[in-house]
Parts: sequence; C-alpha cells; structure tokens
Amino acid sequence: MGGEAPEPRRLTRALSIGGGDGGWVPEEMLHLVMGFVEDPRDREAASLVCRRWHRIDALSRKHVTVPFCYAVSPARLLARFPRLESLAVKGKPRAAMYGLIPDDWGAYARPWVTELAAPLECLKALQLRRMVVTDDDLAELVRARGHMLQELKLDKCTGFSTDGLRLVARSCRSLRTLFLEECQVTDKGNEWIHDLAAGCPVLATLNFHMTELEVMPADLELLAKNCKSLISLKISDCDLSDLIGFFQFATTLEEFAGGTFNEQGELAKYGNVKFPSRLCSLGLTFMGTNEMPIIFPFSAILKKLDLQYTFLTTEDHCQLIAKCPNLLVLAVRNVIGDRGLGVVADTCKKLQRLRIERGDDEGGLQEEQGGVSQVGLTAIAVGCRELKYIAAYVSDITNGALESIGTFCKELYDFRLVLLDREERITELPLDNGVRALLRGCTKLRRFALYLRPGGLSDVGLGYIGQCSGNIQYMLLGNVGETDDGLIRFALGCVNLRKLELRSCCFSEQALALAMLQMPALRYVWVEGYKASQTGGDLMLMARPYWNIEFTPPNPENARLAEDGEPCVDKAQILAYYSLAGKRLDCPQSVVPLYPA
Amino acid sequence: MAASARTGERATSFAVACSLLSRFVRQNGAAAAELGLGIKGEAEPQRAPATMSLLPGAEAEEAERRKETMELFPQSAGFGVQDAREQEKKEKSQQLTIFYGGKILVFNDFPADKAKDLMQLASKSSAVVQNVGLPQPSAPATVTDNTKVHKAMPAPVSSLPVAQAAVAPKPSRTNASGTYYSLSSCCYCCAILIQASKYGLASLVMLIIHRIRFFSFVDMPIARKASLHRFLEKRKDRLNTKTPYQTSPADTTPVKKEPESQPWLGLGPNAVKSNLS
Repeated sequence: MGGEAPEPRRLTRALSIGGGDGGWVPEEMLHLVMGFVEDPRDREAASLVCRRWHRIDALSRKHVTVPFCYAVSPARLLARFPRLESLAVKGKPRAAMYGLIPDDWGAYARPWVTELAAPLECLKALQLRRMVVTDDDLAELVRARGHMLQELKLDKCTGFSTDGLRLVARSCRSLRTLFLEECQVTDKGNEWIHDLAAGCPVLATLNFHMTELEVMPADLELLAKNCKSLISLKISDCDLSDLIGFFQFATTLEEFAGGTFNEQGELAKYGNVKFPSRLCSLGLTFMGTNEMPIIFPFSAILKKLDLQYTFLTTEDHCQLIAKCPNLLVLAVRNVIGDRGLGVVADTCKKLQRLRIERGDDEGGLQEEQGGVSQVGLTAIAVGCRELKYIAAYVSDITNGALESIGTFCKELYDFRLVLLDREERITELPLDNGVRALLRGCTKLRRFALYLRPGGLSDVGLGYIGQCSGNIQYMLLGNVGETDDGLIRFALGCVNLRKLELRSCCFSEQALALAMLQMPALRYVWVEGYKASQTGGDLMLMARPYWNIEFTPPNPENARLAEDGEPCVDKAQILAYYSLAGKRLDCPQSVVPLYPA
Repeated sequence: MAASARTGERATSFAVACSLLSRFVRQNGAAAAELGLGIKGEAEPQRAPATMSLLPGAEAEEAERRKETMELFPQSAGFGVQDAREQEKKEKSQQLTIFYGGKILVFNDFPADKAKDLMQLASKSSAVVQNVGLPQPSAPATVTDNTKVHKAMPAPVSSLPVAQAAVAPKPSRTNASGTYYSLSSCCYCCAILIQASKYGLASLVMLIIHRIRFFSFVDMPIARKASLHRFLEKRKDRLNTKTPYQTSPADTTPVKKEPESQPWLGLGPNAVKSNLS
C-alpha cells in the first residue's frame, strides 16, 4: 500500500559519522556536502545531528520559507540564518483568499521588514504572502536592501499604494521580478510603471495580474524597449489592441496574461495583434468566441493556458484545446464541461497541472451549463497520465472516478476536489472507497483537499484517509465525516501531516482538541464550522508548550458583508500552531488567544 | 469556499425541503414516511394540537410532554393562547404558511400534528448547532419587507423557548441512490409560520425557525475565491451594460434572470420529479 507512512528518513543516521564533537570530517567538506542538501526537511534533520552540523547548516542555508509569520520571531530566524539569500513568509490563513478572514486580522509585514533592514548581507529575494505591507514597510525595505534586491513578491498582500511601488521602482536597479498578483493596491497614479521601465533594466518578470492598477500602454511599450530580458508580463485590464506596440518590442516575452477585449466581436480591431514568437504561456481576460482565433496560429506551442477569465463557451474550449497538444498547465472554469475535458484528455498528453475553477453558478448564464462530473474526471485520469496537480470543482462524482485517478495518475502530487452544492442529486455517495483507492494509488501525493457535502464521506472513509495518507503534509477537509469518532480515526493515521484545514464539519471542540494531539507532525491547524462553544474551553485540551491556540468566537457583532452583499455572520474559528515566538501580541479584538491558566 | 452566502444555493436546498413537504401534504400517507423524513405517514385526526412549540425541545421529556398539545406560543408572547387553544381543539387542520425570502408558500389543510413533526424535524438539524452560539438579533420579526425578509427579519431568538441542550447531530441522510436531502435545508427558511386563519386568528403567527442556516455548520456555503468572484462580477457588469455580443449569443447575451421566487418555488416540482420518479 504505497500511500502508507514511509520508512522514517535515514539521513540523520547515514551522515552522522561526521557528527559528534570534534568529528573528523573537515569543515570544508561538510560545507560542500551540505551545499547539495536542498530539501528543507533534510536540512532540518541534518541540523539536529550536533552543534557543528547545526552551525554549518545555519551558515549555508540560502532559502527559508516561514509557513506562518507568527511561528517564529524574525530576529530569531535571521540570527540563525545570517547568510540567507531568499526569504518567503506567509501570513493570513488561506481562508483569507475566500473572504473568511477579517481585514484587521493581522499578519503585518512590519516586524519582518524591520529585521531585514538590519544588516543582512546576502538577501536578494523576498516573498510575502497574504500579509499587510505598508508604503513605510516598502520604504524601509528599499532603504536597507534596495541595491541588492532582485526579487520582490507581494502575493495577495494589502495595505500599500503605488507610492510604495514607485520607491521600489526607483531604488532597486537589480530588480528582476516584481510580483503583485491579487494585491489590493491603492492606485495613486501610473508613474510607478514608468519608473520601473526607466529604472530597472534587468526586469524579467512583472506581474500585477488581478489587481485594479491602471497602466498606460505607452509605459508598457517603454518597458518592453528598456527591459530587454522581459520574459513574463501579467497585467491588469488593458485593451489588447493598445498593446500591439508592446508586443512588437517584447521579443523575449514568453508569458503574457491579462489584457482585455473592450470591444468584443471586433475581430478586425484585434486581428492585428501579433504575439511575440516565443510566447508559450497565455491568459487573456474577457476573450470571447470571436477573438479566440488570434491564438490559433501559435496554439501548438502553448505550454500554459489560462482560460479562467474568459467568455468562452464549452464548445469554444473544445475547439481551442484541440489545437493545444503541448499544454503542461491548463486553468479553466467548469464551463469547460465534461466534453471539454474529453478533448483535454485526447489532446494534452503532457498535461501536468489542471485547475477547474468554479464558474458562475447562480444560474441564468447559458454558457455556464458546462459543469464537470465523474465523466470528465475519468477521461482526464485515463488520458493525462503526467498530471501532478488536479484541482477541480465538480457537480457530480462517483467512487469510480476517484479510483481511476488512483489507478492512472501516478505522478499526482496535489489533488483537490470540491463537490459543488448546487446539484441536489449526486450519483454516488459516500465516496469512502473511491478516496481510499485514490490515496493508495497516488503514492506521490503530498497535498490533498476534499470538500464534499454532508453524507459525502462517512467516518469509515475518514478513517481511510488517515490510514492511507502517510505521506500527505497538507490537507483540507470540508463537510466530511459523521461523528467525532471519524475524526479520531482520521487523526490516528496522519503521521506526517503538517498543516490541516477543516471547514464545515460536525466535530466537537473536544474531539478536535484530542485529534490534534494525535498528529505528531502537525504544525498548523485552522478550523471553521464545528460545534463550537462560546468560550472555546475544550480547546484547552490540546494545550502544550509552544502551541498557540487562537479562538475566534462566533460573534454576530462581527457580521460583515461578503462581496456580493450577502451578510456573512462569523462562525467560530480555531487557529492553532507551533510557535517559537510566544504569545501573539497583535491579535484583533475578534481573536481570543487561549493560554493555560 | 466563498464567503458569499449564495441565494441560489439556499433556495435550491430549501426548494427540496418544500417539495418534500408539499408532497407529504398531498399524499399524506405512507409514502411520506418512505422519504425517510421521519414524518409519520398517517394523519392522526384524534390529536388536537392547539399550539406548536417554537423550537421543539431537545429534552426528551419536554418533547414527550408536548406530544399531544403543541404550544403555539409561549405564554409570554401574549397572543391569547388560551382562546386559540380552545378553538383549535375543534379542528385538526390548518393552513401552513411558510415565509421565505419574501415569498409565501401556503399549504391548505395542513394537519397540525404534521406541522409539529415538521418543526421537530427542522429542530433536529438545528438543535445541534444551537450551542454554536446564537446571534441575538435585536430587531423584531417583520415579515412585511418583501425581498429582504431573510436579511431584515432577525428573529427574537433569545425570547424563544430555545432548547438548551445540544442534541447529537443526525448523520446526514443519504438514500440508496446517493441523493442527499439536506434536512437542514429546512433551516434555510427564514421563518415558518403557522397561521390559523380559519379562526380569524390571522395574526396568530409564530416564528419557528429563523435563519438557522447561520448557526448550522452543515449549511456553510462553499466559499469562492475572491479573485474569481471579482471577475464574475465584472463579467456580469459587462454582460449587462455592453451591447450584447450578437455574433455569439450563447456566449454573451445576458440571459434573463429568473425571478427571485423561482429557485425555490420553481425548483420544487423539479426536485419532486427527479427524486420521486
């Protein structure tokens, strides 16, 4: 049973001959060897061998990802790894991407930026994800690291404006990557991109996709002229017919996303758009049936295609994808339908990543009659054997479809399935056996998400997940299980699970707390939708050293409007995580940190 | 996972609940029991239920005590309960009116004991979540606002004889074919009101359930990614404001939105069709 817990890693023992105090392996050699150890978990093991190994690892570690910004204090981290070249820090829980975390929740970049400002000689790359970054933070960062900074990724961050971006553009002459995707940026004018074009000649990647930033086509053209190695550009809305000049100069461009078609149906207007010859990754916002043919001439060389933000119908998807035999990455909405997935399965034999997002399911829009079911998923499983990543919102599902994935998709590393709640009738539930077959078959699986509906997975099925998920490090489960018993059965099997998210499950507070104690590798857990109490009292059952528990009581006062104007009353949330930083000091009022009395 | 509570989804689930209910009323027999709804099939005319408990007690004792007489109102509600009781004892059927989303669904001759069963049914799926912490809305119930009832009508939940003890959650129901009836979709309804109109007690309405979906973990809507949500909104705007894109009608022509009422009134029969055929 491949999906079961692996043998414990043996790196520690195998290399420990060089350990011990005064070990005979020369320092230089150890440095050299350590240089070849990249997996952070191997590094972690190595650093635990002895003080010397710990020191050598600390001095030679070039990249660190902090999975949660409150897990460690910046000072402590940077003191340990003084020669860090690249740092990634993640902030708010993932649920923030779905509007489930209040804006004032926390995850401020400030403490991190303050530490980075102290002499940290080698840092060239910084990535902040779902954090609050202010213009002051950017100013401080630029002051300290500007001359060295090659990569700045602000991923789904909030709190800054184009003023901050101007500072970055003016000060970071070595900048190669500026990434702002899905950031909420206050737009104070488009000079920043002009400055970027003028001040950052080596810029290779610029991404402000899915932001509200407005830019002038002329500035993009300047960017293309000045930045000779521009490889990837992802922008916000900007009419494609205005980008003809840009594309003309951007000869090195391989990836483009964004743009828009303001006058649909005017093929004449867009017929003149000539994409650079190396372009192999594309995502055009608002592309419709009539504009689609502009892709055809080079569709055969496309490796990556994002159709999530288009107007295409099911039929359009079929026609277009049939012309894209070399796709490695495909992102669509469920309008693609089973028919479209059939074409993918027949055409895209090299496909590695497939994302099927949820479309407009409020009904009414004809084009959204697609919907993906077991039929499409099975076709994909049989046809696309190289898939490493599947994320799909499906309208119907069977055990058989999951079994097919387990049987054929041997490369699968990350699998995410959400069963939409629109259809009343699902062909086959529960999915216990299908889930087991998938987990057993896909031995390389490390990330797993399953969001069903009540009745979708029994306690037995939940137990299967525990038994067969020995390698899985991240899991999201929604609407699964029937009783606390299922949760405990699940937890007993999850020996390597580091991060768990649960939503909309029927588990009691007590069972949740007990389950957390069963998972030895668990570092981080987020729960929303369970049988919560007003005080979170039973959560104290999982209290232990270094384990921070933050409870957000259900509070109608916190009711806020979701993006579509529907009221969204808070449900109780639990966030618990290991932390070396001690108590979190910047909790908003809605969050109650729990500590043993 | 979208933050947005989606009207359509709520309505659909609720539609199923309603269709089940209406079918039950129509067939009024063993078939209803087969649905697995836990509603007793046969009408029991001997019962003389006068009042219905608001949220039938979780305590078995309470439930037992109320079995024969359902309290339409807690005494404190001040609706002349005694009178009502006297009169209603003479009758076995009433009109059941369900208010939802500003729309009204009326069942004539709805046996009161069945109504009681319905309430108990609904409470089973709702009671489990009562200890989640009920919001305590302050505004009084109002059923006059038309489309916004579900938003504007916070029930005075705190004043209701709410069962305190949590009942163990009912395992979700899955019938042989895998069809799932969300019992808690009953919870989707803003309020179920019993109207003893025959006796001129037109205003004798009682709030049974209010927005229990708020308290229900099984009814948390699947959230939608913020970025995609923004795109879909933009797209909707474009479809509605720009000249329709005639060359590809299936693609961009704005399709008329169904009236608000249809998702549940309209889907009800469909659901019945698909589930019962």
